Amino acid sequence: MTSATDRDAAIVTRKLGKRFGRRTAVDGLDINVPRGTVCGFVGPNASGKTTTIRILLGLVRPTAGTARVLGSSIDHPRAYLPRVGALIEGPAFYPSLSGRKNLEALARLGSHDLQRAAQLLDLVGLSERGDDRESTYSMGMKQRLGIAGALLPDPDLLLLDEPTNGLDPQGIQEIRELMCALRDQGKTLFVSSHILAEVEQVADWLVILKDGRALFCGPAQDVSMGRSELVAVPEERAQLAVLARIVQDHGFTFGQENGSLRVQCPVSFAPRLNRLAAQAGVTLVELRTSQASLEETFFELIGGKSDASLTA
Amino acid sequence: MLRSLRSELVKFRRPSLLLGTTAMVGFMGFGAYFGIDRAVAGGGPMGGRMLAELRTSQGLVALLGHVDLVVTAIVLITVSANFGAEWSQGTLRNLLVREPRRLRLLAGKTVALLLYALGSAALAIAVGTAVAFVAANDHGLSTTPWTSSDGLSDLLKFAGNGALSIVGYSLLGMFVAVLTRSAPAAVGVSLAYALVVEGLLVSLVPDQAQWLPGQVFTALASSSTTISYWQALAATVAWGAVLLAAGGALFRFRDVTA
Repeated sequence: MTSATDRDAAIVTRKLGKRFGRRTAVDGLDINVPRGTVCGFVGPNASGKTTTIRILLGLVRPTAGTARVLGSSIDHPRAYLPRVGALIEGPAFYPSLSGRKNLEALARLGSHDLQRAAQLLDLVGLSERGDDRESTYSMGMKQRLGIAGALLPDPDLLLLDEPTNGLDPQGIQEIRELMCALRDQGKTLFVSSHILAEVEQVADWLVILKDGRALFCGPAQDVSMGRSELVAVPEERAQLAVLARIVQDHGFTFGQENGSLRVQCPVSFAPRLNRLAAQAGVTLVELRTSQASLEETFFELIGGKSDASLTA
Repeated sequence: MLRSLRSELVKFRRPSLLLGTTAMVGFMGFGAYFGIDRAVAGGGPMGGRMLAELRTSQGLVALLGHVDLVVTAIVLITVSANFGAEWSQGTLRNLLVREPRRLRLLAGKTVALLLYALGSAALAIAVGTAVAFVAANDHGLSTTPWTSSDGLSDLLKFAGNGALSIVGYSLLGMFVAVLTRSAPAAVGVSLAYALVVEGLLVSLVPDQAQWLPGQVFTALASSSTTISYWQALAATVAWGAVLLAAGGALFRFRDVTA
């Protein structure tokens, strides 16, 4: 049975699974991505990100579960793929053809307007090199061509696998702006990336994957919720015990560090703590909030910083 | 399928395809000239036999037939490499996102490569024929038997049967590429199969091996005496259907992880 929410979402998976022989790539994946969002899709290497994207694009058949893309079942990719653009595992083109001809070949296959190839080359800043062979392009240019290819159908949903790979800082900035502009046009972007700081800047929805399962799926701002803390520094060290008692009375955990109290609590507790401390005769010389970054939250969720493949 | 075919036509600009055509035309032209030159100047029983053959209405067809195997090998290499490259380069995933109906995609690509192979082979035969006439005139060899009604009829049969043989080898190349999902593997396996494996089987179990795809495709093109023309034609059609069906089934149901 499919709920109205499932049909309205851009992507929904229910108990989705994929095994390659003995190896489980995707294991009972349950996610939903609302339309009109930029969804960051993050996880360590071999966590099942690319396999999930391939399943959603009809390239790989799941061995368990179901999924819907733009309201249609993945059993019928023809129903939704004309409205989907994708850049999967880096750009793949015919090296001896020009960027323009590569786009034209895809445009003919998808029955898209050939004029769109020129427009998209312009959009990704490749119009001057559009007639050069793809083999002469830098990695960043190939990446831009890949994004142009993904935009050919003027898609409602874009699945981008590591879209900023190989780009210089200016290129990354341009792609970030492009993603935000596309979201503003009402498109949904599903962006897999290793660069957590990058995802943090653009994503308003987040899916964190490990071992083929979703550790988190929800609004990006919620991922760090419960992982914020207050740092309170009393005027005198002796007052730490009073502060600790106040915090304990409210059921929060805390730790002491160099004459300060670090309290694991919502940021909204700060004014109350300040007031209660004053009532108890404690003067706070410093009271600041500290929100866990996506990177800190990510490593906390996946269980430590052992996977070196993810960098901020 | 037409969308897929139109998309493939854009890719005809690739140098690898141009190189394939150039090689076919070059080998056919060189083979035609060298064959006449050797026959006229070579002497000996071998040269004498060739010269005698060249003076008949079947002379032109016999001359071109000597180079036909090379052209067929180039077709097999080009087609299998072209199909296999879609996996090796990772371009297949782009194609399947834009055309998820896999059989239509495969059909369009197959038709496009058949058009390429047949067009290139036709060009090679045309160039080979032209070179043969020039070389024959240069060496004082009469071409009148070649232009007789029997000669022209033989040439048309040669071209027609050669085209069927090329379709067969192209489908073999397509099937091996779909099976191996890699350009180097597709070229290596298809050549090894056609040139080595079938050859070994023919020497071990000749009665059974004569029905293998490469044997019947070649038999059709070269008017083999081991099986009749109609048997070769029927077997070629049957193998073509089997290769298409098997290639289509593999392509449709296998995961695309490249």
